[in-house]
Amino acid sequence: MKTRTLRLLTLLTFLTFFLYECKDKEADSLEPANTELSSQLDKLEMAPTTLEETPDIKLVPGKVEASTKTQELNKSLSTVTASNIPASVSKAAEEVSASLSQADIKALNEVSPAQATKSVLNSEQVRVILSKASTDAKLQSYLSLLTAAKVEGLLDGKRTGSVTAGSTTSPAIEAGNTDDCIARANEKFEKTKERLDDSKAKDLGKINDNYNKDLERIQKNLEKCTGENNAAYFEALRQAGIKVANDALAALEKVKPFLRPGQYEYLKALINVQLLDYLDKVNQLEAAKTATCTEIAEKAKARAEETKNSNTARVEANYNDALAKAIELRDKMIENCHNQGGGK
Amino acid sequence: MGTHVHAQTNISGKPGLIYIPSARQTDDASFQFGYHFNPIRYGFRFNRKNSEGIYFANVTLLPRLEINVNLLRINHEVKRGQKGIGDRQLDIKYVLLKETARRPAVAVIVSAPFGIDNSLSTNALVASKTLRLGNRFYADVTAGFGSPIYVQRDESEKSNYNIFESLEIIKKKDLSYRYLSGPFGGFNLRFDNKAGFMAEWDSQHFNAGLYTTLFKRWTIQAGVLNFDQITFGTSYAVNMLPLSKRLRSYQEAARTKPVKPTPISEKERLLNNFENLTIDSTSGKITYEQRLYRSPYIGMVEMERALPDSNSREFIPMFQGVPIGAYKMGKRISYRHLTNDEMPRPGFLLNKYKLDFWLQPVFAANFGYREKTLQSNTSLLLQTQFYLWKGLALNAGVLFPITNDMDNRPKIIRPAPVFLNQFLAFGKHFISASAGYFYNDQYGANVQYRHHDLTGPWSFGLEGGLTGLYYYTRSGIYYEKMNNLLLIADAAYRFSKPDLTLKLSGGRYLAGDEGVRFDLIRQFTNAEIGLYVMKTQNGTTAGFNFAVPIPPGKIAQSRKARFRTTDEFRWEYSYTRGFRIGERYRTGYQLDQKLRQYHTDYLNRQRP
Repeated sequence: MKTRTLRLLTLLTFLTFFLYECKDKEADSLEPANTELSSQLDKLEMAPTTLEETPDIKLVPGKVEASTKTQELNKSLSTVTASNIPASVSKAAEEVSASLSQADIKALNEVSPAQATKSVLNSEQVRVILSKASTDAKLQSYLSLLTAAKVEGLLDGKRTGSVTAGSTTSPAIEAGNTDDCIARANEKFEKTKERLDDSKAKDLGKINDNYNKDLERIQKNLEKCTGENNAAYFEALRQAGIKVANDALAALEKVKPFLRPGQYEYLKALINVQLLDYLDKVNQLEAAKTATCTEIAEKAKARAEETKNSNTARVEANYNDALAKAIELRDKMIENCHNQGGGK
Repeated sequence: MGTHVHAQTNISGKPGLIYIPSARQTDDASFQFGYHFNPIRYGFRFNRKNSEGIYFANVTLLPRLEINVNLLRINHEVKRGQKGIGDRQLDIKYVLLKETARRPAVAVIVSAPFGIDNSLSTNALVASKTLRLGNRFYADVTAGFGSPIYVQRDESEKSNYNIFESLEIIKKKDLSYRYLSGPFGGFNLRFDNKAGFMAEWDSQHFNAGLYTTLFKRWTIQAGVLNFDQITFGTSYAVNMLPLSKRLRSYQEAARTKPVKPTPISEKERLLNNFENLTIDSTSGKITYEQRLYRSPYIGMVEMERALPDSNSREFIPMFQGVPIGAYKMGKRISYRHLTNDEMPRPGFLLNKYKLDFWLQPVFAANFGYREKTLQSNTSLLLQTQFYLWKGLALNAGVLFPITNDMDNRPKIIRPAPVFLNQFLAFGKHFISASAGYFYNDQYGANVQYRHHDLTGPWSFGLEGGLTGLYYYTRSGIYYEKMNNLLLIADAAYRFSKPDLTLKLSGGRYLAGDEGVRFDLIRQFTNAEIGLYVMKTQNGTTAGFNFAVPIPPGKIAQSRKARFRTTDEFRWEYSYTRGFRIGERYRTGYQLDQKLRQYHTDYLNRQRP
């Protein structure tokens, strides 16, 4: 009897130990076992959407730059001595003499950089000389290079994804009392839908963040653009050109005694025609700014909006595709709910 | 009791010819099961598209009443995933007139109207007469009329929570095959019950066939339908009333005078089946407990055999150490309550009982889900009981999971239901109180009271329980609050011939739904089969249940310990599931189920 009592006590101790601890519910373990369909529903995710980025739309200001030959000439001028006149200097003088008439040279030599005003530039004589210089094959290479201002980022065409229409998302519950099986198909579906909704919300949040970043960048670009496209900017460009011309003239004056007769006049005329051409091109640049910074900003905003809409449409399309699949799986699950009784 | 059974069945498993049923009255407690093949051009459901397989079980629940359950399964279902377990059909046959020398047997057969797809519907009035043609040659002649209309339900099995809703009348002429619509008839020319030739007009075609019955139980049959296609089938039949040969020999030996003494070895072997045995030779009373057999009568027969020469003719079987009453073992068994003086004194019981271990299967299933038509949760329990005090038992065990398609709970070896049960008996009053972890994932307390006169027809019961959900996770137990209130009252009336109990119960069930349930329970020698219909706020359903011992019973036994299979496996099928209609949980036993086994009429029905 003692042995049996001991056995019983051992059993009771074991049971108490085993049963005493109250544990947390293991997630979903009371739910019906997964079938192939419900597993598919559990694993269903939205296809990842590669978000399109908005191009950086901004105005790249134009510029007028001295040609290589001009830079060479200006450099060579300072090296002229009595015994050495660099070939580039001599060649420049020769090319001017061959391309421009004496009257042109005289007219040009009368221009001083400080006088190179709009009226001078617009005088008929100067326009003719500039036209002649710009069409002359030899002189052309001494003239400034003009790079027109341009709006960057507008070349891509807009893209908008097509959106699959969303299907019904209401639970497919049969009338009257609900079979466990149908209720569970609906529960599984609701969980999947919540997951898809979360993914969609995440993607849409990302799109919105990107859009806000775009707007910030557009504002910055607008500010920069405004800074780069006012009258002072162009005036500064002019003054820079005038300075280059003045420097070249000063160097020319210095080496005047070592030059052969006529060379001085030709080179002075060349420096002046360069300056006039430069100033003319700056004027062209200023006059050519067809789009204002505000207009560009507006275009950039519209583009950002388009990108946002296009990305949203693609996310919606992926969401709707996934949701349609979820609905299909749910309906299949319900179709499978063939209740032929049960036993226990 | 005759043990011969007629196993020849028609296409749906009823006694009959090839397609047509007969009015022949089957032996009480006959049970037949089998299979029939129906060829493609005569397909009931998808005529000329699919052949069919019909699985069936047919039980003679009462001498005049047969219940037939069949499943019609479509072969080579083209639409993938459209298959369930088959079309379920329940048919009832009642023999209105028994066959006499002058008149035929007349029976009515009705298909239960709650089917949704009953393409094999049988609603017929039929008459059958056996004519003797010569020595051992007979002709069974059958004629009848099948109703051209029948009732079924215009319902989806998805919202099938009220089995009596949306009833509609269907005309068989609108079906692809008109089974038993109009007059039918045929005959069976047979040699004893061994073989026969059948010919019939099934209301649509002429059919003919042959059958033979092997080993008195196994029938093989085949036929030609409309001189065109072949049908074939097989069935097996048993009778659930006779005791086993061994027990019959014990009974015969007990009746033989003078009584021969039982050999010592057999006596010892038989007495080893009993526990807590007290033989009072002065008063002639033998008090014992037997846990091997579901039917207490088997214990009584074994005890009679073990002690044939004793003067003791009053047996006092106990349950959990509590005497049920005194049964006087005369030609008929009589019953009396024990007086207070006769009641055993309370005391520590553990040393009076063996260490008893048994295997108990548990099988829960959902049928029909198209992706997996049988979803089951199966486990095997190694159970034991410790009798601590008079009536007080600790039930415990280990559960070994086998399948689980029904939920995501882990398949881990875990404790089987562990609970204390106190059984009390005061004359006609019985109480069973349990506390602990029960079956069906409920823990808590349950109390049952029953007023049961074990010699009378009426009994009344009350049951109350407060439980909560629990289950085992990988790391311990998960509990929910104990807030499921179960309150059920019942009244039962028992007919002694045959052992039929009608039980009306009602109250509040596990899911909080209130309703009523009607049970019709037939007790056989070792088994019990019941039909029920139930209506609660959650819906209306019906079904059947049965309780059987699991063979082989005793596996190994010594004086101190025993290993066996369970004495009772109980299972209930519900026509519709998932709507939580009248659900309940199980403790170790239901008081009414236990007590009706001890009714004197039930015991006497098994006594020749």
